[in-house]
Amino acid sequence: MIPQTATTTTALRDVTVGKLLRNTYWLLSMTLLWSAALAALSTALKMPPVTHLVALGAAFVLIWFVLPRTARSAAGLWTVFAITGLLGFGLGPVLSAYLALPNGPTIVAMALGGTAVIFLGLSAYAIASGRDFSFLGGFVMVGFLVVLGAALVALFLPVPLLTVAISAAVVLLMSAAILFQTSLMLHHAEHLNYIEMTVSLYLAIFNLFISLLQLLGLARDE
Amino acid sequence: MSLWMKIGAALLLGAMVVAMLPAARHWLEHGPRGSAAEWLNAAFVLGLVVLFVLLLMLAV
Repeated sequence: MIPQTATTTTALRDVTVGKLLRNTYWLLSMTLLWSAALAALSTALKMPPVTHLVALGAAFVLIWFVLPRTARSAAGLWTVFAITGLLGFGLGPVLSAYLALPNGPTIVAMALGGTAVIFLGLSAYAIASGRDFSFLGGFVMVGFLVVLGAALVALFLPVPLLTVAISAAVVLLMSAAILFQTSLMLHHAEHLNYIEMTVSLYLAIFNLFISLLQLLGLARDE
Repeated sequence: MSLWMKIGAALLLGAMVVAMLPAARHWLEHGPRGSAAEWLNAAFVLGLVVLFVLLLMLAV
């Protein structure tokens, strides 16, 4: 009886993990498409730079105050699309600035391709290896707090080297976050919700893309 | 970036720090600890990402 119970528990766990992965990646792909469409619209409308800041602020309010209250209901889907739509729309002025550079379209395409390769590679590795990267949680959280502090300093002390260091640190931290979040879905699926996981992975991809864009833009200037 | 944009961005960054502090403290105090081998493996994978980004930067 005991081996049969263990087999049933493992099978149930596999179903939970499979369902979480399927739902998360499906919603993530939908939100990325939606976000890309709004970024294209915002670029075409030539929105002013302040749009980026306003959209980030509104998305932050939704992430911290609305998402925790709606994530376990159907309203959570509307919240996810509102967050990713706002972030995508806010990306318009940033993309416009890079596209105006002499080889701007190449930089944007390389940042986009680089983000896709890093995300798919790390997700595939975390899933295929089956390793538990949940020990990276503290490193990602504290590292991101340090980066936020450094970004505050860089706002009022614009040193190019500090900007490079911040972007490089964000690339590293978001890569670690992708490993950490994917491994959480594999090993702790029963405690997780696909809507919250979609937002977490979306934010990692979003930050990774912005930082790659900055690094490639700075490399071009050199 | 205008001064008002800088002030807005600073307020937003400050709010993010305040909002993230409890989660960071929780993960530091209660999160699982990795072994040396696990950290080495993670460092190797992240090192590959750094190499890839350097290649991209050289290709621009």
